[in-house]
Amino acid sequence: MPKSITDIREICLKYEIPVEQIKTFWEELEDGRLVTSKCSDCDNVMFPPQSYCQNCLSKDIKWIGLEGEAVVKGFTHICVLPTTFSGEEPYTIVVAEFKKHPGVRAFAWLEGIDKEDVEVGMDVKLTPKQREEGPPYYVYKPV
Amino acid sequence: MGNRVGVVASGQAEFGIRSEVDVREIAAESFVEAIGSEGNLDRGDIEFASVGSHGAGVYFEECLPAPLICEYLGLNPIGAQRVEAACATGMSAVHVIYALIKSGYIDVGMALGVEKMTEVPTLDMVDFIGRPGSYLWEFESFGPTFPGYYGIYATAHMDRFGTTEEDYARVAVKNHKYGSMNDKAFLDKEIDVETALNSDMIAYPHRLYFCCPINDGSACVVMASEDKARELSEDPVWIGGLGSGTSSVNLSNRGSFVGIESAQVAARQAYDMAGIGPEDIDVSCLHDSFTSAEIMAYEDVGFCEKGGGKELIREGQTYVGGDYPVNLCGGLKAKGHPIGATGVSMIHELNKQLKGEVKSSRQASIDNGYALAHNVGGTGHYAYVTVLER
Repeated sequence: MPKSITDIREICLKYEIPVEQIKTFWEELEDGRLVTSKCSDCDNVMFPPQSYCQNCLSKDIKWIGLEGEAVVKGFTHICVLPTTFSGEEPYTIVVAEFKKHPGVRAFAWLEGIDKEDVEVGMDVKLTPKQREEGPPYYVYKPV
Repeated sequence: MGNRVGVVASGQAEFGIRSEVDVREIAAESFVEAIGSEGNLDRGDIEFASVGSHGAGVYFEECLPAPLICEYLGLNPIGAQRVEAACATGMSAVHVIYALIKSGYIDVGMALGVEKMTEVPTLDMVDFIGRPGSYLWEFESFGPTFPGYYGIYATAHMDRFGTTEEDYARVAVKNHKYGSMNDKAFLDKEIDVETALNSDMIAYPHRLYFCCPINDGSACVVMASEDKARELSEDPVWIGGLGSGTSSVNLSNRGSFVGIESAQVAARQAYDMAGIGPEDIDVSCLHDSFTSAEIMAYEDVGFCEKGGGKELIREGQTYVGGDYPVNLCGGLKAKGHPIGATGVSMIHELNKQLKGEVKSSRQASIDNGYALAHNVGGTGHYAYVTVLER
């Protein structure tokens, strides 16, 4: 007898992720522009965008242009890749804080730089990017 | 009549690649050890089971581990639940049982943490563990892995305080040393700093030896109200303080990457409730999923000022005989980190430490009678801290 049984009921999971409440973000990104949500009541700027203000719970949200210049707060180079990213080369992820929007940060890849040159405190710019297939996204580039 | 909650019995399965047992069978190992450790305790005393598992139905096949384990161990029809708090799942199960006893709902309950992580390919596990986090805003486009999430903290800590890769290697050396003395630990070989520094890069700055392993395990703690605890145990250890917290799931919503706010909040709550401070702690289990996280944890639980963690490991203060012995069981790093079992295993280890029942080479000197367990889920998405007292 085998010591284990290989399960035969394989399932493929692909989520349909609702983005209706923040569709402006995705529409603008598709057109190559970065925007995010700002609360009309308390002026809180949020990234990622939300349809409720996390500061005052207002649902009166407007959309503002996101100026992409930012400063790196922390970084990592992913060298052992998860299965669903196995087609990629090792990649660099950073969290950087926007210069024009103090306290607002984004989590994204940093592209176009040698790994040895990445450091905390460096200037980067968040930039929209399109895929051949799939939703648009955004990456940091060195400035 | 006292109003405390006591730990009356505890047990742990051997952590490792346990491909010869399924989730019920590995749960039974820690349960049978716990029940057998106190002569007066019978499984019929247990009124409720809180089962901690992160991966049920996802990276191992069984979706309902709580009633499944109750069935296997002959505990039906007691009440049960599964709890989940990422890597802090185990200690969240302990806190639930504490609350049920403290409220008077039950007198005796058990927290059992269990995980099977080796039934799927390793890189699929890396994928599953990278998804929590914000799936849409982090994983979907950027594929972080868990060593990568903590890597963002580690690079920030290195930049701000001058913490080095050597410091991260030193923590690995310590935890492997104690893992080698623990029969229940997965990784049982001592290593040196060079071995750690020369190991493969997983996610900068985390090399293989800076990361906890993927493995299977279970741990079980039986707790009781004060009167019942005195009946069931000659020498119960008491829960003196608890604390819990959360931090944002999106890393971008955090203001600092040199400490984990949820863990700082949880530690402060636990100290306040116990009426003690960090200086009173004789021995602790801190959440060293990555060796950089252990250094941050020294600071977050107040063993030193923020940025001072590197000095503690350089001076050997977190070894037996130092000011703050940490992870004398090998920690997540060497004992292993079967996610749901880890927090329960910390309580088991500290129960034994406070009673002086571990191997003498890794036994802390118990002077004040206080121990601290710090269990972090995600990168602080959840945090649970528990103070035990004797």
